[in-house]
Amino acid sequence: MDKTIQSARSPFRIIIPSWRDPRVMMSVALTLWTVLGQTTFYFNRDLFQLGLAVGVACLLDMVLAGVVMRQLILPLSAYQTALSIGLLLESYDWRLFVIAPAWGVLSKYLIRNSKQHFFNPSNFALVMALLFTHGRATIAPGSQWGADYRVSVVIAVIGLVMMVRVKRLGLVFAWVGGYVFMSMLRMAGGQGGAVFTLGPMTGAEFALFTFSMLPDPKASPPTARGRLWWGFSIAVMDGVMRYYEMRYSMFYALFIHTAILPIMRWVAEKAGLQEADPWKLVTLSIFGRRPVQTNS
Amino acid sequence: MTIALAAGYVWLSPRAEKGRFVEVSFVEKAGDAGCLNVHSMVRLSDLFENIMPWLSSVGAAVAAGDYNGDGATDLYVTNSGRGESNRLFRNRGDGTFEDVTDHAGVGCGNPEGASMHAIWGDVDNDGDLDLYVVKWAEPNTLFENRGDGTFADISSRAGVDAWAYGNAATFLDYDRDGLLDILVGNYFADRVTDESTGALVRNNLWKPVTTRVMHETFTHADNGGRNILYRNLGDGRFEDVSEKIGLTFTGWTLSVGSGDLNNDGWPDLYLANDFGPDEYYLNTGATESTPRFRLVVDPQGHPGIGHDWWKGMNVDMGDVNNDGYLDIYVTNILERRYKTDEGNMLWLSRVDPLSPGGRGYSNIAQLVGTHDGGWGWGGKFADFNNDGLLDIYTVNGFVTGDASHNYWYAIQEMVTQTKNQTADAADWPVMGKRDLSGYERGRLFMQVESQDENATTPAFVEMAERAGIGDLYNGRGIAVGDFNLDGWLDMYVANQGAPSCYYVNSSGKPSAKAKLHDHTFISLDLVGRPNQPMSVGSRLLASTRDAVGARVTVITNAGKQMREVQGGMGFSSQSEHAVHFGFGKNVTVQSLRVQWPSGRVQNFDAPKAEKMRNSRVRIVEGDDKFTTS
Amino acid sequence: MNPQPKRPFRISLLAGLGVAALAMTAVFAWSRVGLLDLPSISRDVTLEKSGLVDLSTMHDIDAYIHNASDDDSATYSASIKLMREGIAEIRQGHQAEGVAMMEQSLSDDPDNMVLANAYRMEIFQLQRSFLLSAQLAGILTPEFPDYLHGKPITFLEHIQTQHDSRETKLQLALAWVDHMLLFPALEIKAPSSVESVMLLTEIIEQGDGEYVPALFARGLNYLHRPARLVWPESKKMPPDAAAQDIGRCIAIGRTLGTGSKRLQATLAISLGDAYVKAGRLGVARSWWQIAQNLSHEDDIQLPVRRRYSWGDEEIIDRLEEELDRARAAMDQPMTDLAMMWN
Repeated sequence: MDKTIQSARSPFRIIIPSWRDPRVMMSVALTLWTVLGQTTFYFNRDLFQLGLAVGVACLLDMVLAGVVMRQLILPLSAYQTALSIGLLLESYDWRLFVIAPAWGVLSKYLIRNSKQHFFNPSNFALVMALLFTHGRATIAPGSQWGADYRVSVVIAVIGLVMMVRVKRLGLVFAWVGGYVFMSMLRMAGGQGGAVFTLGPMTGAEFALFTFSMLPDPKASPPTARGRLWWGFSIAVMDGVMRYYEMRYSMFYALFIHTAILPIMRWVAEKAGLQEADPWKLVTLSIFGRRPVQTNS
Repeated sequence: MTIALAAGYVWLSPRAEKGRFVEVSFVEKAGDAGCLNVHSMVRLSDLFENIMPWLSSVGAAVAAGDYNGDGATDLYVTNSGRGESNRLFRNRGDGTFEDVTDHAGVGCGNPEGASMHAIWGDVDNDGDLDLYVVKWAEPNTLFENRGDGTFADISSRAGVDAWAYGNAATFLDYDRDGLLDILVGNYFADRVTDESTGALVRNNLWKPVTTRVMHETFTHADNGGRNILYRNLGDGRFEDVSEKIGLTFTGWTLSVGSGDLNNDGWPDLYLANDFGPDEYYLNTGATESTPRFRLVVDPQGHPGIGHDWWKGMNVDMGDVNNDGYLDIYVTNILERRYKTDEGNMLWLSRVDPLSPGGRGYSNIAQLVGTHDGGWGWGGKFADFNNDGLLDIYTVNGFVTGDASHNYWYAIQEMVTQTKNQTADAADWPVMGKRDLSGYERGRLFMQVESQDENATTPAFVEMAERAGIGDLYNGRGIAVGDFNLDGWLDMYVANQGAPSCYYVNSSGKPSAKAKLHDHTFISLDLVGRPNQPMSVGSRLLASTRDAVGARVTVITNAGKQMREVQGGMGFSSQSEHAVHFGFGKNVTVQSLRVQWPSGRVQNFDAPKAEKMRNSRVRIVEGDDKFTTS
Repeated sequence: MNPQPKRPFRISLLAGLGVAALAMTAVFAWSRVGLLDLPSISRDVTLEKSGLVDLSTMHDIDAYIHNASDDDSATYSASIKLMREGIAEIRQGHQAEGVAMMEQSLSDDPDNMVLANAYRMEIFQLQRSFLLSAQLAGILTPEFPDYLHGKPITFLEHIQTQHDSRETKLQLALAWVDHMLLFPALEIKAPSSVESVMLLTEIIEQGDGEYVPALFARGLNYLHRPARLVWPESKKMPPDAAAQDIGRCIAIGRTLGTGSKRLQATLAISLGDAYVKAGRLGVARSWWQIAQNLSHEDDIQLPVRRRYSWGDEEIIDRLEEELDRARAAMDQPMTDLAMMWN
């Protein structure tokens, strides 16, 4: 639980996150990845660009929180957003590292549905950067964990442990399982061999997506079953995009899914269903049956 | 939110370059001039059919040199197809050429492997240029110039007939003993593990024992070829001293260059590597009587001179900001939507007491506008408009295919993987007719006078198209030289699997749109005297006949310019031997100094230097007199 | 409103401010203390260990041996008198005889710093004038006459093998530096510097870690090595090697409370130069300021003012030029130990 301190004189509430806030662990993990990347893993990130992203995101988050919600916050979410962007986004143009974090943080405040945002800010920022910056942005292949597979294994283990803490293990397994399944289909479809289709799983891009973007609580369904379907569905969309050689498919797939999250929530409300069940609505209507009413 | 998105979109939209325009123009004349060569590409074993376009897309090289000593620079170009001959174009003296390959006997013919690169150098100091041809899967060939227009193959006697996968070579005199040494950069490893027996066998890409021959990662591959430094023993033989002098890294070397980077008089090395960091070596000759090369590493133990994006394709050295220290241009890859990290790199030399050699490098390419070179290959410094500022021409383009289907997706997917997953060519998706950064236009970065009086960094403007360079071929090697002897530097470009281009510099012609009559030049041909060494302590230092490594500094009322004689630098490139200086309007030459590799220094005062203007000058080491033409 | 939260808030605000103030003070203090980043010296250092004992006696001896016209007082030893005669012979143009006398004198009293220094300086000036006249005569590869050939290195090597002590090693190390000063090429300087440093390191590491002449000589060796020289891995040194050695000398001097103001100022300038080479420009300028405050003589003030005029961009290049000039000052070579006792 966050502690709230309210000063009688000041109109603000000061929000201090508790140690058990999952964002704290995530921020520590991302910081560690960034530091290791700069020192031993040959990530070659430009420190100026990273610093700029962190500065812009945190400042904007604090200002907007102050203005919009009358809160003085410790910008952990913005910090996470900025580091994810810094680690993944690549460009020779420094201005991208001002715009993308800004877009990400703004999306949290400006794109809302019934008082909560539904896009993962880093994902939103990356997709917008890919689409709207005249080709100057790419997602960095960089150097993948120093090109040593053992490090990927360690990252995977740490990542899974974190997922247990934030109760998103099911989601991650659904996504990874779905990815493997789609890779088999792609191999069957002749796109490439096992190494080519499964290989990206060993890279930093996949790990960062899986462990820091995908499990965002605001950008995924609140029930366990819903999350299973969610993860699998993203994997299917990603697989199809990869088959058609669309680069950055993971990010687009997540983006599209989060974009229709409000619709799903609205449908669920109208039908009186739990949020998990809109999937049922879709699948059942495909197979020609009417949804069963349940009490929410 | 829409407003925010729109604002960002507008802020980042590319702006047309504000009208800075530099007077320079070229006319393409390969066909008319008789030096047209349509490069034939190498074809490897069918086992590599899935990525044949990738593997066969190097080999178009050009080496410029005056092999017959008539004062006009000739051209040697490679062809890489089986049974295809390389070609020697003799310059008739006016910038037109005739093919004399058969008479000279330097065709090579690729009976088993493929020619990839060539360099001219006088290895026996007898006054004429010999030729070293570097190949894949065939012994490299050293042709001795007999002096009568014909050549003899002395490779095995000389001991320089390495069987490897060479793509780069340069002549240098690393121990300053007056004898030209050879540095060869190799790409593929010459040995692979035979999977069935586990033994290390010769890696023959025409008769492969395995398809596991590719780089192990796209960023830190060290399973490439061993580079070789051949030390000239002076009796027609060479010795492989690579291990002794510290050259032990097996990167995927594409280009090698040598120059005195820290001004201590001893030539240093820069090796541009693909799929891994570049290597930068400093010569310890000033402190050790047997010179060796010391690899420069950063505090984290990474070799190289800064943030390197691991696709180094070219090295050229030149003093781009006229501060008396050599700077380095390395080409790389930039592709919007797919790979937008740094692009080409312009490493500007600056003081750094904490680095070995006292010099550090900053990449200013993006700052000054020379980073967008596409999928870059050869890149050369040259003063094309004779204004005293070095410009850069760089060629680009990898595989030209069906523009609606490119191979980028596959490449990017492979780059996201960890080690050893890209090493087996069989795992690579089929390339077929896909395009991979083909259709790229070369880049002519003309250096302009900085608007700011106090500016210490140069400024460039890209104007290939406006200057008349519009070909979309996949360029590889560039030979810069004044082939038609009119005082303006021309260019010969070897294009991969395509016709070569011969760009004649028409900037000085009154009829062309450029009007630069008041720009002048000096072209210096330096001749060393290896039999007149200088004694330094217990050592004898001498210049090679080619004077490779000699440095010329010209002081004018507008500042200073420095050039160093090169032994062949640039990817698949060798430019003419003479060093060329340009002088803009109202520039007077105050003095000219030559620092020979033997340690001799010769100064020419203003009257003598002025006599050299607008001529091709020949200076022999130790002689105060010089000849002009 | 519940007034309770007021107090905890105020307390934490004050606590935060207090911590911040403390932190800032600590940073400021470190930045000041860090200036005088001198290594610590053990308490039991003595004048004898530091080699700074009997400086005034040395001064007198030095004056005596260089003035043949003075009274031939009987208080000095035979070897000192022999050195005086040798120098007088050289002044009268009998070089070979004079050199022989000097060598005999030194053989008799090998640990005498004044005698050894005088010997080296005489040989240096003789070789220097020989080289100058050869140059004027256009001789490209001059050969020294027998009495100068290989000197003083070969002779001092001989003395050192006969009588191995820190004094004889020091003189040999300085002889290598003399060699470096006489010949301009980098390729001769570098191996000479290596030899010199090797000998000095032997002295320092074999128990004489506080012997100031050796420390200063080694520090100067490092300082004068041009930044553009590339050393092989085995011989490379950290960028602050010079600063370490010279800093140590100053620390010893301060602990013992010895050394003239002028000497201290000279060392301070050198330490500043060493810090420039180590990339710490702020510290370097502070040490130059210390030198300026220590002595008001022109030959301290002028070099310091020159150094202050160098901007950050050009400071390394200007310093290297200044050091080149110092090495080229042949009238009073840098290896003349007389500065210790004058």
